[in-house]
Amino acid sequence: MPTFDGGHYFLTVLIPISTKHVQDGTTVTSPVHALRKRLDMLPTTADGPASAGGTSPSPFARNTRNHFARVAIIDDVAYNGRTVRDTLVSAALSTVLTDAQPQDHLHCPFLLVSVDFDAASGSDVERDSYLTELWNTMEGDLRAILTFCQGFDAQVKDAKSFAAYIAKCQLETTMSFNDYYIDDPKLPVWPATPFLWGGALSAIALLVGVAVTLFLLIAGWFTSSMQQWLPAAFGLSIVGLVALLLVVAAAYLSVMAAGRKPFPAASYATLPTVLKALHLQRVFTGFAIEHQMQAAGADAASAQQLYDGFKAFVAANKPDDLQAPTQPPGVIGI
Amino acid sequence: MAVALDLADIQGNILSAYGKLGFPKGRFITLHVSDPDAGRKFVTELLPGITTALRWPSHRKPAPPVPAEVRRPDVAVNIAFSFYGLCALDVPTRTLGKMPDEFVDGMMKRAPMLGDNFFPDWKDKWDDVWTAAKTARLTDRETVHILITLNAQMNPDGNAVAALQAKTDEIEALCKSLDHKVRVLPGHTHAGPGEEPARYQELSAIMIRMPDGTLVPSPQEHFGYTDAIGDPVFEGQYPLKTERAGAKGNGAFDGAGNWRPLAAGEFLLGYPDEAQEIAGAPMPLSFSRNGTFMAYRKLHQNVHAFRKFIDTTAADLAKVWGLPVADAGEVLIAKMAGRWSDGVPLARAPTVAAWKQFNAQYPGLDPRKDRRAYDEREHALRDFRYKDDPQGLKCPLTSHMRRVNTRDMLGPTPDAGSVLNNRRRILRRGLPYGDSSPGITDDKEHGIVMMVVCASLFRQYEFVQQQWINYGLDSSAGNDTDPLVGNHAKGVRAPNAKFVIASDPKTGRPPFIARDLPQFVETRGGEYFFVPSMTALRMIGMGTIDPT
Repeated sequence: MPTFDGGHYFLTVLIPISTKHVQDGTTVTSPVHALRKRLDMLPTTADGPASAGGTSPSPFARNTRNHFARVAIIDDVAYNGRTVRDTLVSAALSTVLTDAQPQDHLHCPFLLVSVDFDAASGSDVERDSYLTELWNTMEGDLRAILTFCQGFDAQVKDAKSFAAYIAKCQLETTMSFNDYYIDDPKLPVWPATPFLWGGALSAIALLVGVAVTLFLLIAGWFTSSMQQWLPAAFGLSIVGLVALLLVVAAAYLSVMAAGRKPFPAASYATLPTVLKALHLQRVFTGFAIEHQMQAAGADAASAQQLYDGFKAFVAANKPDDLQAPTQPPGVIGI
Repeated sequence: MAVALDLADIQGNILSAYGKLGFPKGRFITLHVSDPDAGRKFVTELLPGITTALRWPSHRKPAPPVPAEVRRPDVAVNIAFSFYGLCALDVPTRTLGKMPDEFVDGMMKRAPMLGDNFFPDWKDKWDDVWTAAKTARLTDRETVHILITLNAQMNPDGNAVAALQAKTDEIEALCKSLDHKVRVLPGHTHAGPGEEPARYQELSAIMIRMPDGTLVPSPQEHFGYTDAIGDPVFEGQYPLKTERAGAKGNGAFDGAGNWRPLAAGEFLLGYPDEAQEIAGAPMPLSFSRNGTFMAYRKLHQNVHAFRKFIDTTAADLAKVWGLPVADAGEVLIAKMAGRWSDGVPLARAPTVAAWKQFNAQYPGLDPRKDRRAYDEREHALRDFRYKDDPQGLKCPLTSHMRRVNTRDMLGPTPDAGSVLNNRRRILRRGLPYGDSSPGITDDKEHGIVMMVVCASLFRQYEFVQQQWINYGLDSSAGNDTDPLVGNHAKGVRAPNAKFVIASDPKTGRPPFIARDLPQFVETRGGEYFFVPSMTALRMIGMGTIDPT
């Protein structure tokens, strides 16, 4: 499960936060304190029915590639207590349990940014194009936060340098999660057959070789003429063993290579299609409620009304048009 | 080794629903303690009269004499405390500190999460007793500290036995003798200007007048449903034989076709629960053990709105599904609840014809005349699963009963049963109040006081209320709320809600969407209470809780 999977790019970034005190308004404070305050002031997703028709105050909703964006501060790594050892071993090594063991700590706090967005591939070009879009839609918000991070003010001047700055702090995403599959994704089947055949044949060669070698060694005590076959039988064992190891190694590499391949993108998994689907789901429920009595009617007039109603519904809601009407991003309308 | 409960240490309202045991009348009293010494004396004085879970001798089967036998009371008396009540009684800080968050918060603070904020003015609709404390609850003289529940037997004329008033007088006299340092908090209505606040919450089963003029209590609530059928059964609650039979349908399903009683720890503190552990509880354990928590909820029922909705919607349903209008009304009522109005489960009788057949097969006679027929029906009403109905074609996934008790569903595979359900069962106690005669309007007092009993209000009751009643994810219903008791006034179709009834494709009829469900049930007040064991009550009274 790599950085790119199922048509989505899973960006994980750890940005070191500055540790030099800053002037924040009238107070002198630590950058992490000031940064945490900025994050608390960041508007989040609008939810509730009242906002269903409106726009979201979240700056991340200003582009239509973001699915989820999460920002958090990692102050330090947690200390889990002493590494426990068997009491007898500790006693034998004269361990003094009141002497503290070494503890790991971070040299500075980090800002964790985790985003999944629509992308055609896992290439750096896709990532940079997203980051450029992000910069163009929320430069002010990003500056207000990232100014407390190390090197930001010095290195970032524009969208390009922002993308380069983020790229430097990127980690490989190893656990991504996709939830847009309507049906099971069509996955390539790992070609097990050649490996099974190869494995079986080399195993047979190995077994036959070993069996014949052993037989000849024993029989050779009685009939020396049979010993001439010994090198061939031993050779067969070696060939079988080497072939078997090669087949196992090749199978392992093949499985790992297959595992690194991203899942195919799900149908209708981009943000605009998801938003359109949510919009259609809601308005069609309303349509079904308004027209269920016509649907139940057996007369021609009811059928005509239903037909006309659905025609008007399609004309008004344009199911094929992803742009409008649709649900605005960053809004949860229940 | 099965759990053996010390019945003499457990309050009687935890193990039994008094209404079904011949106590159709109720009076609930709320009190405030302004002096810890007076409060402790009050508890100590009341203690000998508290009804425990000890079983009363059956009048049908004479039992061998025992050294001491508990008599069936005329009035069952039980007591419970709010968090601030325990503070007022000087329960040690260390004990209070381990009380669960939701109990400390109290019900009103949890209202937005519980979905009790139906309307912007929801607080104004609550009974005065729950809203009178306007300042910090720790010091406000109107904070509810103690709840005393009196459940009484009834005379043939429909009135409570005289012992109910006698017990009330005894409590009032006790308050007087303590210089009103323990005093009754009135206000069990939302009194208008010049109106006298109701001193107590009066309750009564709905009465049926018999041909001979006598009144008998009915098991129905105000909407007309037969209530209190599906209460969970847990270890130690009943004698072993009754427990095994009772667990069928009301216990935990094991995925292999068997039912077993739920773990006692789901309903009593200090016992292993469905997570196979004894959950943490306030210290000392002798204070918590055999106690439990209770949500007191006064639920107003908009009976007029309900009847009007049924009439209007049944006409539409009749057209869409091609049913006679009279049948459509019954079908709609059944689809909303998951049971027909007489309690017959849709899972066993999905159509009107099947319903009639069920009633013919299990006529359910008077238990005094034919105990076997009575028991057969009682078991048939409870013993069913949803295995063959994953789409809710018989019993809608979103019907009230199927939401609040998912039975064999929600497991990793269909019919497996699931700890997700077993950890979210609740005992329901309570009685109706008020009058819902034909023609009554919804500004009058009528509803039910429901008392939810469970070991963790947060994990059990609040989860059911928030996730299963006021949300639809686990019922594959999006944001649709419970058609009967859910919050209908919020959501995209506010102030009304919708309810989708699936249709069996074999009938050739489309699903029916019931529209414009108004708010049928409104919370009119309530609080979270701790129901202590008899030991804990004694310790509170004596002031000897040692948490170290």
